Amino acid sequence: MTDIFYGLPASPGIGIGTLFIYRTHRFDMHSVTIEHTEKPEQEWEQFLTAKAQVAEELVTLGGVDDSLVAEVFTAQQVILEDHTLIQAIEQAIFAEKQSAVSATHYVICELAEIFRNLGDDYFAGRSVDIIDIGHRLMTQMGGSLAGTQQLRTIPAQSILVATELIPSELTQLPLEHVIGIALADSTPTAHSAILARTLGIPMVCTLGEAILTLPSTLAVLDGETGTFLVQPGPNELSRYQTIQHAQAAQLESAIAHAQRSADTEDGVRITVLANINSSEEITEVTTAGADGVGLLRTEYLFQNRLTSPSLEEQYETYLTLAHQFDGRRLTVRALDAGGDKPMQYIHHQHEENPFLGLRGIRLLLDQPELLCTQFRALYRVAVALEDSLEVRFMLPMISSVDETREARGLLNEVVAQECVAHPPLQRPMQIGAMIEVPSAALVAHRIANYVDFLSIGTNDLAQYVLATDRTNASVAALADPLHPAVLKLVKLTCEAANQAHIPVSICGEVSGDPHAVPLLVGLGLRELSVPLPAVPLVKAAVRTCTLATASMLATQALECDDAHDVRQLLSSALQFNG
Amino acid sequence: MTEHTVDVTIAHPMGIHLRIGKDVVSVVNQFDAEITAQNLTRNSPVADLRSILQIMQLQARQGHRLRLNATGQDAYAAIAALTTLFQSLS
Repeated sequence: MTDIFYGLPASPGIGIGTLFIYRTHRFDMHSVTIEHTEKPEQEWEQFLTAKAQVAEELVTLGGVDDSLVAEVFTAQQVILEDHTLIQAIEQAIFAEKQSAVSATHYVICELAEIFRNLGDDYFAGRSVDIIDIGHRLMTQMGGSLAGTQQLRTIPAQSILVATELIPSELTQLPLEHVIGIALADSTPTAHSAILARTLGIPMVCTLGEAILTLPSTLAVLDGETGTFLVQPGPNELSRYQTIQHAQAAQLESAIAHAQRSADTEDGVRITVLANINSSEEITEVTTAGADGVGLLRTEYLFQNRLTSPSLEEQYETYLTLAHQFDGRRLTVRALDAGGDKPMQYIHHQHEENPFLGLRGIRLLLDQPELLCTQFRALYRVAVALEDSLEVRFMLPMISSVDETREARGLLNEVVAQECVAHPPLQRPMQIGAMIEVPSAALVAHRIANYVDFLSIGTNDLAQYVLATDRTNASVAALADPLHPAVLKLVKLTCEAANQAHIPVSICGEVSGDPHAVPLLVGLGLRELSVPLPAVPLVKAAVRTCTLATASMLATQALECDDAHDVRQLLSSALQFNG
Repeated sequence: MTEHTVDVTIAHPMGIHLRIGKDVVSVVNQFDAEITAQNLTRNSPVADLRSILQIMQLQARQGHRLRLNATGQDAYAAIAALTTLFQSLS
């Protein structure tokens, strides 16, 4: 049976090949076998020699050119000389009588773990640099970081599977053999992701631990949508082969035309926005051709800290983000937290089933200070930048009219308070509801009375409609957002928005699939928010469809039995057109 | 023993990322004083600025307030040099 995994797209392109399971464990200190020594002085000498050799190695690597990649190695030289690192290793050798190899291994893994747990994506990604240095040191000492191996022997047409990859591993890759990289951890801003983009290898991050136990089998990795399809059926496979072939030719032309607007053949303008996770990505939004940001997730601001970020801190952070952004529209999603991702300063009750518990808007209404502070900070940014930027705010996990009304009331109060001190905005700040719970889609026409826009979150919607946890490998494939049941709710939501004369957009992986674009347009969507790497191809897909064919496709899809039939319909429509 | 403390705001769009952290260490290494920083905005632990690994753990982004503290003969000069560095980063 086919398994589907979803992760964060890190480098675009489609790879179809055989899985090569490279490393299945994290570099954590529990994986280290401690070796002891009788002669710590000798071990210390061995470490110092290795350190000097690695320093030389890094000077050579950093001196090649003045590119971003070379700078990575220059910065690694400073980490190598860091006394926090060296003293910890010295301590492990002399006080704990560990061998040089074992001490290095342990200290590196311990530090990597500390970094991995930092809340800010960029700084957390530096754990990989630390591991990289450990790898170099241990290679010099004749040991190896458990799990690193020669990469040159990888068979042709491989999709590499690992927890994470360190830059030195990527530079060793036989490029002609590796056609995709699937990582259980890591982030799109890690150095390995930057390298993968430079090398043109499709990469998807944060796919989850389940991918590490996969057999060596055929798989498809989609670096645009973050989808990882293991043992695809013949239809799926041919669908992706078609996309892959078409993409190779299209990608180039799509990127060349990315700055043009996305109009259907018969002249309907479709707004293509980007989904963004970090401040590193926001600088790339307009370069990628997106018309703005359709979903800025803010959880990273709230994680791994002892107190919630203050009004001032949030204001400064959002203002900075807005300054780095040269687009016109910035849609920010309110904190979407819950028992599955606990935060230290929020008192979470134990929940048997966090996905059905106090999360999203429910948590925000339970602790309205969180909601109001975040909104107030964003409102002030909207006031400060009124002439250049439109800031929108959206509420996650709305499941009833009641919640919408209550949240809107709280936010209106904040606006009223702010208007005492500042002149009101010329155009009021738009507040929207995310439609990602079936009940919300079914009463979207009532919810629409209390908000200025709707945004459909297909990932959660598919999970809730189909009673499927998409991170549970044995059922994940059932959570297909192209299931007719999900599509019906999408259509219903679009109709509700149209009746209320408010805009509706869609975010979630499905909108980043160029294949699904005509269908989404046919269902009534005029705004798509897609992962950043998918923007050029989605815009290109819009330009090849007409409203008439899109509507027909939507009508047919709604009559299908299941997601499989819908996908088949999309494939044949593509073949018919192309 | 001289002690000197100032608060600075990070102006660089990327915050104190790896490459800037490297410059901070090289400035600090020119002085004898003990020099530390705390990210007031994040209410972080106090970091030794001679250690790039501790600097990274400050998770300092643009707009964050850092409290710099130097203790030693050349404390004033060290703080002056660091302040200049942070001001030049924008």
